[in-house]
Amino acid sequence: MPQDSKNLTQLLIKASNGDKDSLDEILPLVYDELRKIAQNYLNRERGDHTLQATALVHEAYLRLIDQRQVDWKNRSQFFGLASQMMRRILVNHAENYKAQKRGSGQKLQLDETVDVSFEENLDLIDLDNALKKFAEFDEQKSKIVEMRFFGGLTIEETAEVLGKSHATIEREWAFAKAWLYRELN
Amino acid sequence: MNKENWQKLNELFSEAIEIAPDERAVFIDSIEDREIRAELESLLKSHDDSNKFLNKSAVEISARTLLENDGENLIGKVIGQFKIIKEIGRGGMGAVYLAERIGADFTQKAALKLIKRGMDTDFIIQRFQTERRILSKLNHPFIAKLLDGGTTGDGLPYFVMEFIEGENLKEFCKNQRLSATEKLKLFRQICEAVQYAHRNLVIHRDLKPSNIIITEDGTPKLLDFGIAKVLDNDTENTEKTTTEFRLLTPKYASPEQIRGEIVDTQSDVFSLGVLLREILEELDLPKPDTQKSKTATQNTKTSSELKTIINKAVHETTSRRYVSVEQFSEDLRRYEMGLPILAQPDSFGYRTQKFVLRHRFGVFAAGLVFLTLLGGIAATLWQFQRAQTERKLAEQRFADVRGLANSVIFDLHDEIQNLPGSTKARKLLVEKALEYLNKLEQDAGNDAGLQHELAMAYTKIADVQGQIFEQSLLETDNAAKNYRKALELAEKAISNDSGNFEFRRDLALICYRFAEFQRGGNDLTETLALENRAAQLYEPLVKENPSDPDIRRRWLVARNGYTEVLRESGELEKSLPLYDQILNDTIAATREFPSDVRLQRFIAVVYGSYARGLFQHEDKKKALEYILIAKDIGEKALAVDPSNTYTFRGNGVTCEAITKYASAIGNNDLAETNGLEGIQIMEKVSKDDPENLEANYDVASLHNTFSDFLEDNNRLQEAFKHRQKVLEAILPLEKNEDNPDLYTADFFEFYCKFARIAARLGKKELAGIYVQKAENLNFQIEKTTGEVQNLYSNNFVALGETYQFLGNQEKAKANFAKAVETWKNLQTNGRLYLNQVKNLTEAEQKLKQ
Repeated sequence: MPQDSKNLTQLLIKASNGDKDSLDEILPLVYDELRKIAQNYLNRERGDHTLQATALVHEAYLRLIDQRQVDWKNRSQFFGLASQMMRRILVNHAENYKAQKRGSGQKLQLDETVDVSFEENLDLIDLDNALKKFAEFDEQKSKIVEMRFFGGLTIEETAEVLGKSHATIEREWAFAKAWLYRELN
Repeated sequence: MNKENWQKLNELFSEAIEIAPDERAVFIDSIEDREIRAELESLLKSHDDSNKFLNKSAVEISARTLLENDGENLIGKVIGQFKIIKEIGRGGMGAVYLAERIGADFTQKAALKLIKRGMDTDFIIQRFQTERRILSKLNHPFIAKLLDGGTTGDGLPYFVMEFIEGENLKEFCKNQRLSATEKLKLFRQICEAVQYAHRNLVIHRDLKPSNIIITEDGTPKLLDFGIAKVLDNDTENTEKTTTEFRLLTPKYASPEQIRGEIVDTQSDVFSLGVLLREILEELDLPKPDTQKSKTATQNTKTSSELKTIINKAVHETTSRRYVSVEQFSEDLRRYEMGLPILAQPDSFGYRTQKFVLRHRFGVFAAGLVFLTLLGGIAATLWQFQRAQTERKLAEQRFADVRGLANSVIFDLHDEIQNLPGSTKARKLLVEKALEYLNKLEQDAGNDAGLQHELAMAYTKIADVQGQIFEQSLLETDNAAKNYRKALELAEKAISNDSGNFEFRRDLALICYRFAEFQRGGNDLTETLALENRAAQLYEPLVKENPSDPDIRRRWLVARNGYTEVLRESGELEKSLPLYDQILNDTIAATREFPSDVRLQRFIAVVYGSYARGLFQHEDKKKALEYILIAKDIGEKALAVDPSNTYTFRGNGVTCEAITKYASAIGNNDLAETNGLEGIQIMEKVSKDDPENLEANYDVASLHNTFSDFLEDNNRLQEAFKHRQKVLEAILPLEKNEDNPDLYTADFFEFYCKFARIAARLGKKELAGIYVQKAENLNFQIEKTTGEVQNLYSNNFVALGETYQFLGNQEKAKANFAKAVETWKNLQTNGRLYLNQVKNLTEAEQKLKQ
């Protein structure tokens, strides 16, 4: 087991004990892994992307965590924390990226020759801010978004983590999406 | 919005989205609170517009930005002859780009690998160059090819490889829904590529699904020799890479690799083992390629075999792992074909069991398939002098093939020879080995050693095909042909190396075996000559090697054979003193070599042969005395070696003789117990090996002798039942097309005697049928020799008696006359056995009546 995953695990344990700063320390460690996921994802020409990426994220979780060190009470706690971690990292990445592009005077648009879809125009920083606002109204529903969108969890997994029914999660997810969509447009 | 309203809004939203958008108006209108109603309306609108919103995860959305080169954008730039199209991969030390060849008439996609700025340390560059050098050495359809390489303007090294489009091994197996058999086939192709690399002294060291891409047409391509190691002396230092950089993938890395020890080709064997286990994991294990109808238990067994193979490949200890990928792959092939696998503890028992199981399907290669494995070991030992190595290897291979074929013929064959049920298996075994040896002979030119080996192989085959007194298939024509071929080759070997003890000894052996085989036929002239030649050939060898018990025994055996044939041809008077000599010499030899078991067992044979001669010479008492000694020896031998069918059957034959001799002197108790014991023995031998047709004859013969005893004692009903058993036992022999007249004399006896007992019991119709069968047998009495003619005469009398019972005096007379005539002829030539004189007299009297 590489040294990295021991560190990462320890950081996650700290984070789960309330040390918020440790999540920021995790970023460089997870970054390379995320690049691999992204690369694998983009290399795929087939459909069913969501599933693929979800699987990749899960695989990454397992690779990243030294499970022998962790006495997770249950899978739920782990996935919840991992989703929180992913949110931090990806938003952080988006901020850095934006700053870098601005610094180099390049346009923010990624690649004009590629038909950039709606989703890819989504600004993660804006979404993060909207989600923070949403959490003020409804902390619970914001967690659903964190897990589904940032953590790559399925409806089932989210239901399991939050101890709610499948149908409830589906309804609340729809509500959160509608709210956030309105907020961003 | 307060908490209460927020809650309310949520509930209404959930209800509303269940209603179709154009039917919601009524529902919305019913909401009284204006704030909630407005909020709901706006959220429902967002809901309807947001079906694509957040459909992808954040990672997917960030994918492109995550992959953009840090600071340096190479897309569109030209390196060497290639234009960078996009980044397709990124490793610890650099990135891989999709590139296109520029200025070419054709479009060539390529993968360009470039060191990342900042990573261009001496060490990394050295490793990078190693990979490039390795790829330039490897030219194999299943390994991605190196197209170009060099240094960029900024001084960063790069190389360009064939661009492989496809799915990685794991995805491919899953997405294409490959059957387990297809997976195995694909996997063995991958093994082929790894084997090729090994032969070129390259260990991959990072075999994992993502490094194996399967193209659209199903061709596997091995990628990423990034941490490969060359088994080359001057790059020993690459060893450090494993420990320093931990770039390997723990799941697929061998234990020694993880420990940072020196790795060799066996490390790749380990990774391949893990890979195979992984792709087979959804586990519908393939059936070996034998035949359709397989029972569930067999499948379980073969599945466990595949597991055994994988376990051997991923064994923690290198010494218990497959030595080479070749060996691993070959074992998989064997598994697919239903051959014995190597991974099993390679005990003799296992191989035999599997072999005997499978030979029925006619697929055979036991033992010989090891041959292809031998090359595998070479990979680790490979040296640089190619030409020399190849020549050496060819020689080595030749020697190996020869050694293995011989060990199959002489060791494996001998091991299973006396196992019940092995007859057909032995034949296939020997034939296959012979095929190999024949091929070798063509390559070898005039090699005396090989000629000798071939001669012995032909002898073994002929033995299996024809030896009457052993378990055999009774393909006598083929047997004779193969004995002749063996003789020819053995003589050739001696003409090339006349002093060779082994060659001379084995020529004698072939003569003896051939003669023994021919004893079953009519013409004893050649047989006698062969027996004599064998004895003559052994004699000088005995003198040259006085302290060799084996040669001594063989000599005695050959002399006994000669004497037997002499007696059988009617020269009883001449044979008796020879028996006496042989018996004395054999007893002397056992005193000289008291620990030689085979020699002691042979005494029983001598006593048996001698007893028969004595009986025919009317010395009944001495005959019984000697045959009882033979029985005693035989029983002792069997106690030592209870599974020896040869000894067991021998005891049956002895019992038959005792029945006859004891009955002749009126010792009915002894006759009866031995008759029944003999029947029991022969029936067991036959039951244990249904392919062994000779055993059927034995069963019939024992019942026949016992019936004679019963009939002599007027126990007619019992006799009738036993004679029925005779007919039952010979059914498969009657159908044997290979050699229709081998048993003519015996069939004649069986039919005549059955007809007679049927007639005596008033079953006239039945008697008539068998009389007809006896009459229909086509034989020429004058072409047979002494003992057989005596036998026929006895049965002409039996047939005559049957006609008497049936009231056909004319035919009765004719048969008595035939008997008398034959005996008289024998008498004139001095070949009438003494014990037949009484029969002749009786027949003459019957003829007069």
